[in-house]
Amino acid sequence: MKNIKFIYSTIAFFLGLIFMTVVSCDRDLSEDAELAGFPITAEVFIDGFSGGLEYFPFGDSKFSAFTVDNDVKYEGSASMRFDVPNFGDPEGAYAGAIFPDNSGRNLSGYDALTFWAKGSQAGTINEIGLGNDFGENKYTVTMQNLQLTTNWTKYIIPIPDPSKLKQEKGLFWYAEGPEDGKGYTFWIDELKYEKLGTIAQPRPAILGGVDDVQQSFIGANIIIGGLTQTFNLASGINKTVIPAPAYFTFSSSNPNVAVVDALGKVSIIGAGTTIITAALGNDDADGSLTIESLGDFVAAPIPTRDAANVISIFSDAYTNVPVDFYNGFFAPFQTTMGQNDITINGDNIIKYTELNFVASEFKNPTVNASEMTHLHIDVQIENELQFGDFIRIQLGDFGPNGAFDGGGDDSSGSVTFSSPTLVSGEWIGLDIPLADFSGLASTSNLAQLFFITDGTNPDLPGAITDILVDNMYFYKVPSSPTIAAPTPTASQANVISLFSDAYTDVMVDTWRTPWSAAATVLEDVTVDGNPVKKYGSLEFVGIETTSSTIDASGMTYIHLDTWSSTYTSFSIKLVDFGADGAFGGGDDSEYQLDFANPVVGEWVSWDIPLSDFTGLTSTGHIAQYILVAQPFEATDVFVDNMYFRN
Amino acid sequence: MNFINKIKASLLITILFMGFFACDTDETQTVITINNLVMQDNFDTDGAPNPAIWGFDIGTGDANTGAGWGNNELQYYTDRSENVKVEGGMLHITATQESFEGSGYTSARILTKGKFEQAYGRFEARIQLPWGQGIWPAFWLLGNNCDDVVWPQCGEIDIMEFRGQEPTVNNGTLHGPGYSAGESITKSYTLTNDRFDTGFHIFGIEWGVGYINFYVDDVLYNQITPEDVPGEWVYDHPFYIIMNVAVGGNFVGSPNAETVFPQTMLVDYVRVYQ
Repeated sequence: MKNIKFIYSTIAFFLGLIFMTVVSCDRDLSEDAELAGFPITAEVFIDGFSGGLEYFPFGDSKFSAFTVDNDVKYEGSASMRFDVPNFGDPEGAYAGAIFPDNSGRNLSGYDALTFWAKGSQAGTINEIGLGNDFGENKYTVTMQNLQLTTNWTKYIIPIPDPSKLKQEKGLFWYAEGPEDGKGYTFWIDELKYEKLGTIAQPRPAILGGVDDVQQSFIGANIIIGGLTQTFNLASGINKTVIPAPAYFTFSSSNPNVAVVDALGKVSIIGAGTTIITAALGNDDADGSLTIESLGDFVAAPIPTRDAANVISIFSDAYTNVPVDFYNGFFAPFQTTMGQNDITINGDNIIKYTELNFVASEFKNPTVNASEMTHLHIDVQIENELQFGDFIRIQLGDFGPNGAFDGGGDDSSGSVTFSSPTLVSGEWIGLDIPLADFSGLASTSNLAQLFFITDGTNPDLPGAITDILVDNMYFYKVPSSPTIAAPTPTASQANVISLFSDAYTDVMVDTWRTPWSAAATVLEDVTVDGNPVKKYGSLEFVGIETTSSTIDASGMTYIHLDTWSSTYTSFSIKLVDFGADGAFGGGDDSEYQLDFANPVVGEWVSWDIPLSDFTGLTSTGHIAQYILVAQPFEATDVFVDNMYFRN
Repeated sequence: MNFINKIKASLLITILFMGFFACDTDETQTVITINNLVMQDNFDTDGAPNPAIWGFDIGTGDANTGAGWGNNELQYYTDRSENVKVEGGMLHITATQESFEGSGYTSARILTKGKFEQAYGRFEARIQLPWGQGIWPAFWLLGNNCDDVVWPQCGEIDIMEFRGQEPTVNNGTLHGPGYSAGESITKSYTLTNDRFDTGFHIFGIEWGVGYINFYVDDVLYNQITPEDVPGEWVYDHPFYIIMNVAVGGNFVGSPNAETVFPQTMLVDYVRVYQ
């Protein structure tokens, strides 16, 4: 492959030069070679549409924004005219369109899209570039904030890596809104691709050029963002464009920990550390993401409350209300990083790091939780807990005017949690009565939810800096359940059931013995089509299998599901009649387990090892079951799925 | 543009360039000339620059120039390999941002003073330049009597002088008595569809009695004769060669946040013909 140039000059040059150049270089094609492939037409719009060029405005833009102007032009006979609408224009809020050639062009021989432009006033075009084809948009290039003057000026949009553009359809696109609410006009002329030869010193970057470190888990996905390509132009000015991910080649230093696809989506598949880096063409990108995968992730329990009784701020189980942000990055006092940017096995999770305080804000519109009774939050603390550590949950209400005014009708209140409620390394479900937020004058215009872990009190120094958050929602507890208890999954062969639709039940003599508390009323009710025992005004109730005692010696657990909107404690006592199978006789044994503060307003599945009933010396002749709840005679408790299992 | 008229009768030499370009950076060019090659450094031996040819200026200025080398330059010149070395067939002069001896930058300046000095001839070098705001590389000559008479009486010939923020523009300049600094006799040459920091270019002068011609690659872009200078013509005595990369200073202004460091000037060769 030879390419011989022979230039001989005898003109009146001081130096007459003869160049003889033998080029042997893989990247150069011989001049004799014919370029196969798509047209290399450089012109997009000179004095009219170039061959194949089409115009498609964005669906919600002002369709009539673009016209061909035969009066105003930089050169030749016409220019492209763009009339940006005023704020509130019924035809569309902004001007924006793509100009594709849907047969595709080979632009790999060019290094920039160039044009001349001017505005009827100084303006800043929000986004302008190439590669947008209303299809895959694979090789989109976006230049942001292109500043127009009222004089014709030449603009250069460098192509991040021209070799990618062998069949590019998206020749040009733009999107621009009003300036300070007012529309204006700008013109573009001599729009074409060029090989300038002066687009140099490429410096691609990912993650804004920052070397970031994140802890994560198996199953998590992270999108690598902050993609830029910066060139130095002939003017000496550095120009940065935003390339689509497909311009980059991403890589993971340890594919056993995480893999990264062509679009920069990282999937974490193992425990350990890996570094995600990228290159654009032959240039390594600045910025990296070091992922420290902690291995398997245990998700927060999936909420089971009826969506009709929930106003969700952040949960995959419900439709969330509009939320402005999950981290306001309130400088300069707030150090907290992170927001809703973690997805693990499809579960979106908030991860806060360097936490001192942070707020989620939902003020557009504010949230009316006046019908709600509780706030639920699942939180997992990643730090080892130290003395004095706490998490303070604060709610802010903007008052009837719905706006933050730092006083006036605003109010706020907080609830503080510390050990033993707080533990490290596992999900903690907080169910906080809204009434506990003392100082919160209203819940009709809630707008802020704070996590505060940094103490000003020397007794509460506060060192919790890393937490995961999921399932933040307000809810109300109805007086009776609206959804059925979870259907048991243990097989019949491993179960002795007293009461469950899922199994064949043994004979139960009575579900309310005469010696039960007088106020306690048994009612057989149906919840969501499912039979349930309702104990109204429960103090204590006896249940008996005396005529045929249950031999649970082959069983290891007793299970029951309970639901109450108001109980503050729940107890269960088992009584075994001993070898004689009858009450008394000196061989009876019994034991009661008490549970404080059961979750209210949702089904609680008690799955209790029989070994926990430490005073129960035998489980061969179980005959009595006593259920107790507080406040006495003031709480209704619903019971389902009561069975032994192994 | 009238230099062609000025020099129409001066066709003195013909140079045959025969270049074999490969894809690696170790490009070689053989120059056949009727002129007599009297000095060359192809920078083929790794290590410090050849001490038989090159010495160093160290620090932030000397008694003649004053601080900042007379131009408010910001760098401290060293002879450390971090700032100057020969490697892979190239001279590397590297400007780095670091705190050193009270300066915020380091770089290097090498010169043939007392080792190679010559009046007249062809001086040229093949160079790839650094880039960015405030980067100021140069390939230039100073009269060998600058220690005896005050600059600019001793004369200065700037063959290549470059602003990192103007990546397509080379400046060729004479400084003499009555025409120095802002009043110097200068002309710039701008590349078309190319830049000086992305590949190698040849910067040279042809210097004879009563003229100095400036060229880049195969383009002669200026000739200066005694008629063009408003003062004394001080280019009839030996000069020595200087190569350096300055940071900041009057000619370029200071680097800014966008200036990328380190910045390296690569020199493939320096040749002098008589």
